[in-house]
Amino acid sequence: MGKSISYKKIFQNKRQKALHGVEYVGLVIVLIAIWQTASSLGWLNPLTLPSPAKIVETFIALIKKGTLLTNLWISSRRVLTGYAISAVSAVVLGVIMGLSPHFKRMTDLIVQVMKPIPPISWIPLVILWFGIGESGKVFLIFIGGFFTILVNVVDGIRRIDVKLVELSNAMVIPRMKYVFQVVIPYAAPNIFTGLRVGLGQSWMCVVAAELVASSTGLGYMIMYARQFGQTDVVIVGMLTIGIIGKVMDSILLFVEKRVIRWK
Amino acid sequence: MTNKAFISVENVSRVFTGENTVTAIQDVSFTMNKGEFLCIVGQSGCGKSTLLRIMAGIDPSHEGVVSINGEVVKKPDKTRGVVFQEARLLDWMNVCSNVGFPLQGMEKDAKKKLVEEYVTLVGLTDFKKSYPRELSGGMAQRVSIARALVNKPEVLFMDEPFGALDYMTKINMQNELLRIREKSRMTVIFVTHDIDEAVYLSDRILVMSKNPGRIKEIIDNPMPRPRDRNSEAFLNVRKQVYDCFFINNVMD
Ligand SMILES: Nc1ncnc2c1ncn2[C@@H]1O[C@H](COP(=O)(O)OP(=O)(O)O)[C@@H](O)[C@H]1O
Ligand SMILES: [Mg+2]
Repeated sequence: MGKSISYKKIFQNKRQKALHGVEYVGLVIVLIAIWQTASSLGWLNPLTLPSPAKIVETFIALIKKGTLLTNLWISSRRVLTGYAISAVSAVVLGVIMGLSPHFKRMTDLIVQVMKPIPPISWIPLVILWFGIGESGKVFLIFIGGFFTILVNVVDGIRRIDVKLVELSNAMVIPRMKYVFQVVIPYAAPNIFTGLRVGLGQSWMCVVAAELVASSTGLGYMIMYARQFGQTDVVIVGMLTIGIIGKVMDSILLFVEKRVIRWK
Repeated sequence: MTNKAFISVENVSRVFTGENTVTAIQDVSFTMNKGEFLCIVGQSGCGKSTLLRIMAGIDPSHEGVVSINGEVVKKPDKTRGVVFQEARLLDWMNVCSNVGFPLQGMEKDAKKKLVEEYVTLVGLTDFKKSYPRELSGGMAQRVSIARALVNKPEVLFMDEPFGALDYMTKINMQNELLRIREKSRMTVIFVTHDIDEAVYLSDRILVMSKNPGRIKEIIDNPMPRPRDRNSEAFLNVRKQVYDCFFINNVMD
């Protein structure tokens, strides 16, 4: 009896999982089908919106030619460099700002004013300062991630439970131990939120930078294709950016779950 | 300084200034002997926690002087352990790491051994590697007691440590506390609003009144141990505390 119930449960769980899977991809499949049908029936102009089949074809062709992967690699490298710099500096600075009210007050106005400036509007200055080389793009990506991460880190650190502060005080915990074993773990969820949002920003910035001032990368590939009316390449480029963004976010989420095991 | 009390509290007051000024405790003076178990009772808001925190050195902005073992208390110290009402465990550390958290500069093996000794003392050997989210309220509070004891304090401060536990767990914890204290002969200052708990545990009971918080009376409780909660002697002390609270006293 008990056994049959548990079998039933397993079966139900499996069925539920399958159902969730269907929900996850179902709408996408339906939309693509409608799109493909509309294209096949000739309702859509292939020059402005090519069919899914054509896009897949181009996708494969671009991979075979190596263009897609080369550009993807170049863009990814820029993102990872700029992002690594922004993540490290924003976390370090954020922890210090979160812990020191003096430092926070001194820097707050600058941060508050700089934060709302869209990273893209830095492009003219970046071109002036750095030209169109790698460093300019890395700088832009750095700007894109930095303030978002910083603000989240500071917020997380300042939210520290006063009861844990009192506890550490009562137990005469040394400052550094307090910072690394109490404050930072406590703020870890916020820090990760910042890191994830910041990564998304970094992706947007690399594409923006490459659209304007570059001769390599996914952004450049998109811009270049547009000039020749290759809408299929444009869409392949956009989808690649979307997919890589999602993959990177999933990786960070995985790391987060690994690090914050105690939740 | 006439006689040599182990702990002396002299004319201690604490005023909180903020939107409205609150005199949490006013002119509190008493002394304690080494190894004594003192319970502080009083209704909510009468300044029990404030007094305990001042004595433990966590609240330096007070008037008057607290001295322990001849030294004026100005800041927290490893010779004093504190247990709060909530266990206040670090969620990201397992039981052993939480217990070992206050230890500094110890060699790894020695630290491990000491931590295990205290984990065993509070009966959590089987949960050494568990995380706080996996523990019940009583277990979590045991961890926090082990953590307060691991530095072998001379004085243990406890602020309603069993206040959030169910009745059965509470009784168990009281007995364990007495057992642990029997071994170490610590001096204990234990805040509670549970009169039975105070009568069961203490050598003396300090009853506080409210607005402002002052000492109303200090009741001796020399009953031999182990104590029977239903014995006549027990009920007599209990009545004494009750009367102190409720006779000639308008509660607000
Ligand atoms: N940090 C604080 N700021 C302002 N008032 C406080 C603070 N802590 C305690 N008080 C006030 O002091 C009085 C005594 O508080 P407390 O010692 O916590 O009482 P008890 O522990 O007996 O319930 C209360 O009126 C409370 O509101
Ligand atoms: Mg209290």
